[in-house]
Amino acid sequence: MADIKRTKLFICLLALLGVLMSGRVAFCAPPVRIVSLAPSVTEILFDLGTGDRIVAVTDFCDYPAEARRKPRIGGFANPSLEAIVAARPDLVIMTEEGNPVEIYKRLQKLGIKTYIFRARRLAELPQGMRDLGGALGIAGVAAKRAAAVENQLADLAKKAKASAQGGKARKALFVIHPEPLLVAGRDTVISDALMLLGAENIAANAGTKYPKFTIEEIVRRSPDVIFIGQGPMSANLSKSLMKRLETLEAVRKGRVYYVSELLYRLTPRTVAGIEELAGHLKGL
Amino acid sequence: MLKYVLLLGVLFLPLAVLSRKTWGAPAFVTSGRVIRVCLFLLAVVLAIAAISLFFGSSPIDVAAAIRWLLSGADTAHPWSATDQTILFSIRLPRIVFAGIVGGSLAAAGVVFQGLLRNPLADPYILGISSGAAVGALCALLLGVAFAPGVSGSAFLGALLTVILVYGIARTRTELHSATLLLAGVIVNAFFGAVIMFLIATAGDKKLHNAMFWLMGDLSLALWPEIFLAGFFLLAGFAVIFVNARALNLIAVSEETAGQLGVPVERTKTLLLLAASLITGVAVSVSGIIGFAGLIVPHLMRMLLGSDHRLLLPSSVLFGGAFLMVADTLARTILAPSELPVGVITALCGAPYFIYLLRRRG
Amino acid sequence: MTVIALDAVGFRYDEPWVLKNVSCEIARGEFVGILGPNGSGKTTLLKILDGMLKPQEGKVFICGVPLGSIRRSELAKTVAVVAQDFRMTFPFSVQEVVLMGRSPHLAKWRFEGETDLQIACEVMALTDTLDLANRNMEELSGGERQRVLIARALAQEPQILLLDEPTAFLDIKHQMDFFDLVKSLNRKNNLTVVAVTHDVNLASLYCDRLVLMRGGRIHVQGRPQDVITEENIAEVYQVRASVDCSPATGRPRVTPLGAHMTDEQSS
Repeated sequence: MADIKRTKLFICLLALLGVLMSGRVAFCAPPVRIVSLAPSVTEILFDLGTGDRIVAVTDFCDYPAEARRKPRIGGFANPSLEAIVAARPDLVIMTEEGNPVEIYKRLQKLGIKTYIFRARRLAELPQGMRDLGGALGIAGVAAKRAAAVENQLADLAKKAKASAQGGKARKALFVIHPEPLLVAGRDTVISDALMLLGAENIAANAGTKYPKFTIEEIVRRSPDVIFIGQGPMSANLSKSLMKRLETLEAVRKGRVYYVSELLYRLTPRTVAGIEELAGHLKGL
Repeated sequence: MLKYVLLLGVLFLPLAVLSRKTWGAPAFVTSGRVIRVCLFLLAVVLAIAAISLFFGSSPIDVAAAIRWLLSGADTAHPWSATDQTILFSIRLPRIVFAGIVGGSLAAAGVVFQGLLRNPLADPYILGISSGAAVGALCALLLGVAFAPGVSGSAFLGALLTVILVYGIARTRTELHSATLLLAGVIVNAFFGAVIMFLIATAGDKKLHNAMFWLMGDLSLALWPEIFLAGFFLLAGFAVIFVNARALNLIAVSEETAGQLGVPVERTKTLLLLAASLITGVAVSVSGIIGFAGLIVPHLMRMLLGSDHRLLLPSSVLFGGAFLMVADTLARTILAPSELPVGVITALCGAPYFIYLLRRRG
Repeated sequence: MTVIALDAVGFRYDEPWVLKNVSCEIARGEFVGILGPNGSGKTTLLKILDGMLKPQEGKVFICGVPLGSIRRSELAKTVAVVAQDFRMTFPFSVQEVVLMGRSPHLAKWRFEGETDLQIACEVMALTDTLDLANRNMEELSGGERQRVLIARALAQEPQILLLDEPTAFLDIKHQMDFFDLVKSLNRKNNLTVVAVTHDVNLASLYCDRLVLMRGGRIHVQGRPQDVITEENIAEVYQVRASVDCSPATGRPRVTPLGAHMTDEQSS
């Protein structure tokens, strides 16, 4: 039984060799051995109920707990080609940001199917989940989960609008890392989240996605609220930053909130991260 | 653990055999000696390649294969298709590539040390690595590719650097070695600053790729690139070897070389360009791998003497073996994560140089 | 027969002429010394003779052939240079250094053959360096190293030997040994020698002919007795000296007189 299945798959692979890569790939049979090259992808795979099909993940795939027990194939920017091949995957899912493009080329050359998960912004997540579901042969489940995410996001937006009641948009700053001072600029999930909640990201017009800001700039733009990412550990690191910003009203009035790193990855859990932000913004 | 000992043993024990003193070899080089030493080192290279083939993050049963071979090879091969893919499509090209890059860097190192009469010279002393890095980073971080791919951009960067350094150091009549060195230092510093600028303004995700290119990566080259690098190594080596005796004389002093009939300026230019080309090609396809081009010529000179007709081919061969071992260690010590090969070569290189300095007095 | 002929040779790097109107003929088997203070152009003259520099004025002939038309590699078979000792960056053995002298006679990719090894042995025997063959140059003393450099020069099988202040850093014994060796080669093998040196007395002792230079021109040339006079020394070196004939050697001997000596004499 397994032999026939394998032969079928082999023939399909041969047929697909040389076809240029696109985000959507047609399968003869749904892939059962999946290698994930990005932590966000791993989370989504588990969310869609296909966690048991995953045969290998990166060192950084830490959610859910079962993901940590999966075999590893190296890092995010330097995965081991050999380990990927040794896992005998039917499908390798990768992203364009961070995974080296050479790995993609090598996998193509070796005839191993790859799927590029392209969703990068908040609004692209539901469609990305649907597309991935289609590629995995679970379009129905994926559509349901994607719809759930969409509803949750719409809900949060509505609630935020209601509580703002037409007043001026609150100015927010999201600090990714206190030293060196990196903040979330435009074209990031975090920025999308703030916009969804009706807040204005004061770093939105900076040149890059994660610009290195100066204290001066922050003081000048005077945010109403500051979020600092990555949990309670960064409390120590950010002490000196807060000291330097103590002239800000936001700092003096205690409108500095430490939030978890849920917003760093684009997954269904991002919604929870946005809820966290919404909670803090509501009180203002 | 044992396998690491085996690997390192096969690399370093032959050095004891080669040592001039143990063999009581005559004090000068004959063609026969060159051939004998090269055959010996070639055997070492092949042995290391064979051993490295079976090192990796996934275990491959060597014993079973040997048994299969010995038993007449009539049953099914013990290696699965995946095993064979790993061995021949992933590991083998990488090992061959490491050999070629190691040989290239060692050859260039020999030439630069001799030309500049400086035992601390390495292939990057004239800024070729920085130029290549700027080219590569522009392609990686800015998405601006001046030529096909990151490698092409890197090579262009290296080429422009050579032209720049050469242009600075050349006067009407001669190519002054001291000026060449200084020009290299300046260019290195300038491009270093450009690299830092590019990294500082890079987006978060692309940064990782840039860092790994800078630290050297032998895993991603395919056969076409490998053959290209190999071709340039052979061509460059041929040009250099023909001028090896002239290089001996230049390494003593340029005046001496001139007095003994060597066309010094022409020979220097030729050697410089050949070595720069080899270095540029190597760095473009593999990133910046340090120390190999510095340690290997030194080591070979200590064991075999300064005559470049022997030093050159033996450095190429041992350099290849050296980098093969370094790369094998890089990809197996923390498997499945891979260390950048430059880390291993630097970890070997620094203690070795401390040892050298202590010995000198 | 004339092996070296200089005809109104002039050379300069930038503005001031380093050499001007230098004419001289050197016959085969002569031992010629070139003397003069710093800046008199003697080293430049030597560099022109070994083909390193091209004179802007005048002509130079080596064995009757214009120097400009001889390729460097050919010239190296006729002219050999022994210069001052210097540290070599990389270790070479004595044998390797001597064999370097065979380089002009070998095609680029050729290794040294039987003949070359033979010649190397002969010249090492001549210079008494045969037992040093396997030693590294760095291990030798200054005097030994200079002997090896003579051996290398001889391995070129030259007709002309140019010496560029070769004993500058050697002590008296080694200076004498060096020049004794060169003198015997000059006599026995009819080797033409042109030596640039600071040491007037040494030159007077060993040379058949002296060329005294000043400011880029030849001040006077001739036999030591004719060249080394108190007037010439005073004019060229700007020092007061006493010149007499050494009873031991029969050659002129220079004793420079410093200011304190004349004071002592007069007091």
